[in-house]
Amino acid sequence: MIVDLRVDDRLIHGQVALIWTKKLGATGIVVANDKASQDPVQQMTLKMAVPNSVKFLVKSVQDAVDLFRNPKAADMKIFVIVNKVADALELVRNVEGICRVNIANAGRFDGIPESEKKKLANTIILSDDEMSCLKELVESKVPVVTQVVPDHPERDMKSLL
Amino acid sequence: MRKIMIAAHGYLAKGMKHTLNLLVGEVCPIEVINAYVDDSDYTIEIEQFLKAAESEDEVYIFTDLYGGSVNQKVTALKLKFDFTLITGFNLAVLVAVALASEPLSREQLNAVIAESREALQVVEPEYSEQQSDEEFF
Repeated sequence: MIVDLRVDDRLIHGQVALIWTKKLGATGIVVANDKASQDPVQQMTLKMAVPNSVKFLVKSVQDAVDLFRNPKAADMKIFVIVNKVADALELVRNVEGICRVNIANAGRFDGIPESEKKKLANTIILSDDEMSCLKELVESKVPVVTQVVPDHPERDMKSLL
Repeated sequence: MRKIMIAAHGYLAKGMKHTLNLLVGEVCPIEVINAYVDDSDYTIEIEQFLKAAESEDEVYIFTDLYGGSVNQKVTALKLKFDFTLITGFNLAVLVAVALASEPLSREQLNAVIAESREALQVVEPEYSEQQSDEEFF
């Protein structure tokens, strides 16, 4: 079961690994990112952030879909992290049983000037492409929220559009 | 309620609180002592903090250096007040204590400290094969 699908433009960092993993009670973390899946250096540095007691994989988005379709995935509490809304949408389209999508941090480091993007919150600044993915995502049956850290209130993304 | 004070030389406590809030949000009240940045007597502030605590509160003071003067002064206050004093703090131990879901027993606290101590280490790049899907499940 995917307990949380997090969009974070920094992928795994201290906040995510330490705090959210514990809060969610996740037993496995999967980074679904095409670039990271081809980059052993990034895989190594991402792994440093993951607690030793937690299983960890870096997959391309397509390979992640295959992984989550494995029936054994239902027995685990899996925390999935992607770095853009488009990848979250791809997973939601193709994988059943995602409990929640959390748009935490997005669009800050994509190289597109902020003047050409829409700022939905301090840490959510989306290009036109990402905005259209988000609009489709909030129409899916999976709840789409934003919550950077657990003690912040969870906000429905629809209210920010 | 859990109450935390960070007491350190200079502005380390202020900076540590800022970093902690950035990482975990404001999960519990955190007071800071920036010792020796002016001539004021910071022990008065520490005493006020301890006096204000209720008996059911879980009170921690973190100091920067074992043997340092801040820690010496706080150690002396242990004779008058009931609180947990931890010295030589790092970010890992502050995060772990701030985020603990239940009050920590002494044994749990020792485990948290042992784990946080491991965060202090020499880093060497280390490539390893990823787990297979089967190992993951």
